[in-house]
Amino acid sequence: MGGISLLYKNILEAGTVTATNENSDYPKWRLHDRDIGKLFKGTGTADHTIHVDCGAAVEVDTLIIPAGHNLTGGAQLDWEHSPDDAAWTDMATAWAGAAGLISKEAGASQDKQYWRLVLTSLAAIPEIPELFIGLKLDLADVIAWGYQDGPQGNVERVEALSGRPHFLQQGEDREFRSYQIKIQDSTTRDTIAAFLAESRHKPFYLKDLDGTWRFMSLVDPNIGPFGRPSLNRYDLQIDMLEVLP
Amino acid sequence: MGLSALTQAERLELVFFARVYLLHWELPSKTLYLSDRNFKHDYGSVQDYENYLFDLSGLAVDLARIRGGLNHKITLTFRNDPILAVDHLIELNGTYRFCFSTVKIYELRLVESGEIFASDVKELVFRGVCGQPYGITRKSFRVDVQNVMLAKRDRLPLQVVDTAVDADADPDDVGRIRNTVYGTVGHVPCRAVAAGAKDTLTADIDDDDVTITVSGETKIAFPGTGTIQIDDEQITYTGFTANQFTGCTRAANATTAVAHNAGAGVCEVLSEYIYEVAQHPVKALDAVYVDGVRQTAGFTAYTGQTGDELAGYEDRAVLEFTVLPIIKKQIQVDPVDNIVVNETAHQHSTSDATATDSSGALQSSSGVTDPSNVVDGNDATYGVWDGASDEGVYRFSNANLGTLNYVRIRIKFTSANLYGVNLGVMCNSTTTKFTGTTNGHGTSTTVTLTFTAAEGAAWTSDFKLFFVYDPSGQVYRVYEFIDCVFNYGGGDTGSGVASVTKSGTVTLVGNSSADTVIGQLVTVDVDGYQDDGGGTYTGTPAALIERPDHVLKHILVALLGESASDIGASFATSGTSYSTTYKFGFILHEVAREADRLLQELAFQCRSKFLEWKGKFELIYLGSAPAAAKTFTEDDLLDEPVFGYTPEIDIRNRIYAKHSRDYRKSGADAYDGVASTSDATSISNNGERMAEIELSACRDGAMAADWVAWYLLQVKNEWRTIEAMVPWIGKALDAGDTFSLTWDFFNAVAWDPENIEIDPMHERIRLLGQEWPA
Repeated sequence: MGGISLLYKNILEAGTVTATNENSDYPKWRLHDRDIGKLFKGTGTADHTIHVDCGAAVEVDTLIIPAGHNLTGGAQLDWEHSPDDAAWTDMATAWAGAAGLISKEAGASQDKQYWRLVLTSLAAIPEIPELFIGLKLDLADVIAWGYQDGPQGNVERVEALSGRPHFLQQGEDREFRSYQIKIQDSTTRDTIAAFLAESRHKPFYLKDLDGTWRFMSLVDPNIGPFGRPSLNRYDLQIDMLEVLP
Repeated sequence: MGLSALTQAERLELVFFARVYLLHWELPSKTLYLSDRNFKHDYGSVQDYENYLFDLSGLAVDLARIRGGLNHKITLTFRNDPILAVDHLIELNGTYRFCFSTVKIYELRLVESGEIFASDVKELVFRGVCGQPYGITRKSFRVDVQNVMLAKRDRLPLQVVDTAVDADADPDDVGRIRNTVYGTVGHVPCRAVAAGAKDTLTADIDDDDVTITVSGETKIAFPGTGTIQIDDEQITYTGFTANQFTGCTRAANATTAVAHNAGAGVCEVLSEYIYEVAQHPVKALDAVYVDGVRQTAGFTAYTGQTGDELAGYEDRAVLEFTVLPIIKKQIQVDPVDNIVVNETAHQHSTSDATATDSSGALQSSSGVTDPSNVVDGNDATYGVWDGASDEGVYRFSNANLGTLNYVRIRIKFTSANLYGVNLGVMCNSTTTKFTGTTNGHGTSTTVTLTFTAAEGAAWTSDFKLFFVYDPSGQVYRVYEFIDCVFNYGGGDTGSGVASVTKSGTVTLVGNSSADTVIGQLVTVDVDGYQDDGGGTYTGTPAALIERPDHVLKHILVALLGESASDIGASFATSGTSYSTTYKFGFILHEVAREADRLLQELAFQCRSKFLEWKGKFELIYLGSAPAAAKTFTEDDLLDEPVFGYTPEIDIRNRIYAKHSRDYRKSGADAYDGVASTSDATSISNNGERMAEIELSACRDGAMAADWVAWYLLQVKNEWRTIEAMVPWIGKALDAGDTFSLTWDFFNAVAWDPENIEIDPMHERIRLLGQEWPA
């Protein structure tokens, strides 16, 4: 069985975020409100820099911008880090934005205090629903089994007296995932516990078996508990439902 | 054809679609675009809607047929999430006040997710005004949104007479609502906005008293020096204490000093007295009355229109009196020179009367010589038959006195020889009377011919004398037409028309100290609001605004500040039904003082209903039932329909509709006209049940008669009702539509939807309807 990854902490949430250009109606906190439908918007098409001061060095290896952005048409993204807010180093080679979810996983993580995303060659005033930067949790070896369920609809069906059905679609289809995790040591237990503690009340990113990042939430936030830490050997089933914009 | 090509209305016919509610929250200087999801509406341009809306409920429309309320309020539940620069949406209330802000709710139906539209096709389903937020928690809060007119209930621009505006206003008028006048209204009571002090004498005074005592009850203080008026006399004074004028000079300003009685009015003399007719310019001012007596002089009327304004009283219709509006307390006699009496069938109880006319005019003649001698008053001269013609004729006319008992005609006549001859008189070319054979007379003699009542029945004003043909060719002479005697009356029954002329002079004599009084009530006949130069409300520049749809439009736009673009198409449609029969004439605050009630009441009085529908104001005339816009079948019904009947307690079968309000009166006597009707079948079935309705905006008998017939139809019987639950296709119904139902029974009924209740969460629609009376 292959592995999955979870990205559930965003350094923007704990850090200090600044943006060189900000539309006050679409403020910068929307970059880290875990609502992928509410947009941050800049002003103008000049270069924009989104800067994060984490206060102390934080280990980071992944950047995600969900679908809904408009960083296309030649817009360049340059993801950088710095230990001193003066000397900046590329986390990855600058790349051109494309429609849909943008993800960038660095080959090696970096433990730095300052991070920034520099947007250049903008074709339009930038709109970004979320900027998720953090350290992904890889669960390659602990998956006992799992499956990618088909999309779940959100359709209400009503029937007339004659039996004729009417369908009311309340929202888009949502992906459903169910994975069973083997916990056989305290390190895994603590890692999973940290993930659950963060994610019981927040959506997070899941890198699926097929390598696709999806914005998900726990179906049952009361998952657990880890009541018998001395044994550290049991399975845990995590059911996840996609979160829509 | 792809489904995306379907219009929004056509999509209601689909068994599936996704819908999204889009909310435009128009806060002061900031519009929020919200929804129950984050949604990018792409229709060429793009508008982002953000997920701050938990729920909207109560999205119902009350279409009650008669005197229905306006739409229900809806309740919006918002997520209290961070927004803009604040951590909670509720905190925006400090910067952009929520209360009285406008909310518009649009519906957009999607056949596929992410659908991009060629144009902006979202449909406005509700427009309202916010109240205060409540139920505020960290998670959420609620805001009730009411229909515009409910929110503007107390926003009619009614003003009262205020001394802050009119410092010299009559205290009796201070606090009274100033007039707002629509249509043609008689006897509009004016407000005295510039009046002097008023008091009364406490004792009789002689014509030479120089100290005058009053009651001291004036509400406006008399100045220390000045001029007062008692009856017709003006008096200057040099001092005034609390209740006494001193240093008086009698007979001031060319008036005459006379004694005055205790109780007589004492008024301060000003250079002008201003009476406000309306707080706005009016189209015309007609007759002016003081205490009900028409005035023809002593005042100037200003409509308040540009070019016809009194300085200091711009934009108001006022009357300016330069002297106190005084009337003489005496019988008002208005001599009429010509009095026309129309008689119908009558019975005279007096004895016979006669009228004699000797001045019959000779109209024409033929076959005679010297005909004028017959009417020259000289018995010695005569007219004579020429003997050559078949007959000799004298044609007379006389005044038509109607049906007579008999007519007697006398002539002086002779024949020249002994041959027999007949002199005939023909009345109105139909009835002939002969003298009988005369056999000749050597000298003239008076002959009398009498027609009976029956023979005179056809008498009009024309008769003739003629001599019958006599082959002997003898000459016959008529010396003189003496007279006609008309006999009439005496217990006989007759009919006719006569003109009576009365002339003379009416002289009033006598005098008393109470003859002259200071007028208390000034009224005027008014043509109220007029259209502007562009004909915005009526289509005709400067026209009188009186047709119901024009009046309501003017109230909405000019008085309540609504946009003309929010006036629905039904106004014009209903206007064609009102035509010339329906026109209003009223003083606004006498109909209602709250905007929503006013509009409903006016709609009711023109057999219509007023409502807000999909963000627009609609005025729907209730004529005959329109064809069903939608027929529901079992395939459409989500639940078994439930039928019933309107309550028997609401049945009325004898209707009295009072109209033509007299604003000088109050209570039950305040109307000058009534239209009534009843339904015998309903009375037989239900017993007599009376309704007395006041049509406070109607001043026309024909309109009231039409209205009362319509109202009787609404209430004379019980009518069937229906409650049905349908899916979203129920939205295909529009204001003023009817629907029908294919069911086991009641198939042919035209149902008038009285309430459309939308459950936006489940997109179910609950229809409450009543059978359209027919």
